Amino acid sequence: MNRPVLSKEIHRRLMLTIHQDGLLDVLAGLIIATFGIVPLLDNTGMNPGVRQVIFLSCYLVEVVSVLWLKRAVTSPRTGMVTLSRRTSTRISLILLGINTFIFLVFLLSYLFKWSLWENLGSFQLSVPLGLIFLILLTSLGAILKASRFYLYGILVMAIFMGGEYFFNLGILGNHGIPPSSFMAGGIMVLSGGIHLYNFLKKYPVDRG
Amino acid sequence: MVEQIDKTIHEPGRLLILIYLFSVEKADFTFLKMQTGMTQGNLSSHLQKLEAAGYISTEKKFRNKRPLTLLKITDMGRESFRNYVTEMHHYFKELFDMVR
Repeated sequence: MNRPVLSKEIHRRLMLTIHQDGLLDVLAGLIIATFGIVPLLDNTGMNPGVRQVIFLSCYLVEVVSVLWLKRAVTSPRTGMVTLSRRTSTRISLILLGINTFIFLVFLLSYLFKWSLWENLGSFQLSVPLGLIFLILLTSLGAILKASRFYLYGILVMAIFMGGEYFFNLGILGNHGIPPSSFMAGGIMVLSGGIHLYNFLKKYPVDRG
Repeated sequence: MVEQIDKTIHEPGRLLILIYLFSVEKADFTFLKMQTGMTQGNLSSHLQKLEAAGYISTEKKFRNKRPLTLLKITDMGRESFRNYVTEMHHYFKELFDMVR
């Protein structure tokens, strides 16, 4: 029998049910990796509208797939829980704040005529992108009480900075964004896969 | 006094169940079983007692042809849990002053 637990421990356990299967790692990794295809599509001279549709379609497929896996694989093992309105509201407000911040970054870049996908010489494009991912991932780690997301944030930032460095050396194109995205996303997907494997081993489906 | 403690809530297993149900909107049987570490029979027994006392409500339905039992603490259960925690706080405060 588990000993009685304190509210912080309860909250930690509740958050654990959300991320312990590793699917959130996989989703975050796929989103970051997908980000890398945008400059590649730009290089093909594709219509920007078509490019956006492709990017958003990939994003939608990833989100729907992971949600389906959550329902098909995770829920039968961990059960279902609906968080309290207070907790759900708090998480929603934090996510809204993050999305607003990112929207403002893109809006400001448009207003000040920054082109996010074109070569601006010394403008270190990968760095603010890496910073945005760092903020997103560390925020996720703070909400979910999952310390590995802090590490993901640092890793992604470091990889993007590395990509910008090699771009400045003339080794990579597009500010090193595609290889940085694929590498960072790939590592997170792999990590998520390992967590998922361990999760499936630890929690067989309750046939009772 | 001690004999006035709500014994339905005071049992460790049922107390743990109510702690979880107090913290969430609702949860299913599998979630509670996983979190409390109880066997299916033990958990069912405690849930029956809590439901009989009016502290929780159950909703049974099917999802993908599998039975799904959703549990939720009632307003009465929430109020009783708060009263229990407040009373225990007073008791242990007095006990602590006594043994110091």
